[in-house]
Amino acid sequence: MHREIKKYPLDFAILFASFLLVLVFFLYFRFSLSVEKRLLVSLVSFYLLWGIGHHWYHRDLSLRVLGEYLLFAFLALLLGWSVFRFG
Amino acid sequence: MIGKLKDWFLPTANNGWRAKLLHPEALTGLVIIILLGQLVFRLFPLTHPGVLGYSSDITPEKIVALTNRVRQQMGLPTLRVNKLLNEAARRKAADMFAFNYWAHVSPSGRTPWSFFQEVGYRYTVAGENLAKDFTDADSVVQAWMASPTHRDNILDARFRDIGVAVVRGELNGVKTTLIVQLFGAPIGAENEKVAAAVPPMPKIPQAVAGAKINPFRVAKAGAIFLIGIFLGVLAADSWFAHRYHLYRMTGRNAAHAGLLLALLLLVLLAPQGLIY
Repeated sequence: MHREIKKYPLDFAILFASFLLVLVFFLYFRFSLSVEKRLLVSLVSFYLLWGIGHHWYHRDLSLRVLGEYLLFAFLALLLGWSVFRFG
Repeated sequence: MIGKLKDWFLPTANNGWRAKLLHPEALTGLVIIILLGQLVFRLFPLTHPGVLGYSSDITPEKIVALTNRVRQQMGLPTLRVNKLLNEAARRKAADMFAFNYWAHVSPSGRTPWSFFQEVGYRYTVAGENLAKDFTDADSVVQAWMASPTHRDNILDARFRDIGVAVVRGELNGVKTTLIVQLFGAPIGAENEKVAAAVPPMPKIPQAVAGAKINPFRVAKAGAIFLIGIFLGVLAADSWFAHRYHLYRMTGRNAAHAGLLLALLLLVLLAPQGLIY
């Protein structure tokens, strides 16, 4: 993983900074179910957009890669949703 | 057997040097299994009401004491417990259980203020805070204080009276504790006369409801377990790719791991209990 980060430091800096921002907002808006769910959707959406943009920019975007990002995004959304729904 | 199991978690020649768990087919299968699991979890309370639930030891007195403590810390006058507001809060909670909702306004459009009017509490300003699924009173007041709108109610200098109801029951087949906190600034001394005529509030049982399974904890444990497995598989995959100079046309493991780590933190920080 560190090889990927070393190879695309700016791309990963943007991705991780956005994740950090979501976490900060989450800490601020804890206990509000609607905000928690919106933050989860934002986190997953940004990851998906980042994946598509990153691979498109580096010219290695394929249907399989897109599918991988979509499935990870969906998996994360489902897991997060199940916790926040019962929270 | 061990070899087949290894194929699921580690890159080998049998799985194209990528753990089977990271293959789109396996991910799709897992997503379908989770969706089915969630469906079962959602339908379970309907077929087995009262098995899933949240137990707590919250009392109205604790909520009032903590609310007044916060007000005192901010240099505000403490609130007086008002019988009429207690009764209005109890009726609001009973209404939410009866009509299976959890909101300031009921599905039929009934506002919190109608409960004030119903019990005869006349006010110049009023407010309502709601909470559910909490296990202790401290967390409830902390959660309200962390939310700007609820905090405004607690620290509103115009309020003089408070009424709290902590009622246990079943909402959508799940055992829970609803907390209704009402605030008001009365008009003149009329409320005192009306309050004297209102029968005392029936004792609310404070015993812990006997729910067997806490759905929040089950969902949280399941999510942490799966995220942990995926983080481990991604770490192993990256290590093998680095060690054996593997090149595959796949997504970035660091991005997947970053997403899962962020999700893990969200899940770990997710509080039990909701406010409205």
